[in-house]
Amino acid sequence: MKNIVKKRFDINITEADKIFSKSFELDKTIAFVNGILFTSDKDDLIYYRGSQKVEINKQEVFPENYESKLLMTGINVSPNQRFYDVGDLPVGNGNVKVEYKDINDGRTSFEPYRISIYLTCELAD
Amino acid sequence: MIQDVIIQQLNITKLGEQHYFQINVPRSAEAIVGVEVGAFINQSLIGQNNTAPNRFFIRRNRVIGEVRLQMPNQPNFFYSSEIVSEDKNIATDDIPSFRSTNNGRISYRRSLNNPPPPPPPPRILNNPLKSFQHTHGYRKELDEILTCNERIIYGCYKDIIAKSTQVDLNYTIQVYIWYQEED
Repeated sequence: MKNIVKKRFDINITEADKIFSKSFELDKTIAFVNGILFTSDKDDLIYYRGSQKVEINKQEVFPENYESKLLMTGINVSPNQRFYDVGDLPVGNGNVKVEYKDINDGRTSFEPYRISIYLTCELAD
Repeated sequence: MIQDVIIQQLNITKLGEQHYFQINVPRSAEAIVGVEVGAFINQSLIGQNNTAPNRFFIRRNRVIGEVRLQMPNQPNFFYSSEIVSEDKNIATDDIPSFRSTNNGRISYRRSLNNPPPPPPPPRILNNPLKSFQHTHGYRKELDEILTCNERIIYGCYKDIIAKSTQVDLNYTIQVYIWYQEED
């Protein structure tokens, strides 16, 4: 039986057309990352403007310019299916690095917003 | 087996532009397993508004362009897709407890004795009753394909949106190629 925990990390996006980089530490009891989900308090802004690079244990999971909307879900999706499945990704040193890039998009106007990264993690036995 | 992704960015600036490109697949790749496409539009779209879709009324989606991918030595395209700005019919079959007028405004059912509802907030997206692509869209999925192991992919992108509006538009198309490799 897997022991699953969910983790959430936030990045505040305060300026338009900039890169915001932040590193997070996972608990030492966590062995694998199984899923990733991106969301925001102003989800139209992350949907149209966002892209990011994600590294876990210095391994690139999503490369630069990977659009955030590909890692989001709407409320029509079952909660059990919302996370992007990355298999059993070993966390190693537990370091999660996210480089989020805000790009101007003609469909939205910028205002400060927060993005949240949710991880589904599996505890070590 | 692990999966990785290559991103090809195309900057489109001219009306009706056709962009031919090549994507190099790493030698470690054993098979291509999926393709995704997306777009960043760097300027306002003419005639584009951010209102929620009307219910019971099918609206035509705005197509940004068309991507086609082909392998060398293969007779046909293995992938062809239209990139759509957003799905305007996302709430077409949704039956809510309120109705929406033709111009997108919400009018609540109320008796004559009740006061009229307060005006909508300035940020239209704060209204939880409306449906947008980023709230009611489904989870994005790969277009799953399995192809032979080639080292190069030929691609062609054709602009549609600027051609339809007859105005030069500046936008970026992103093509994602997911591939599989040994550990």
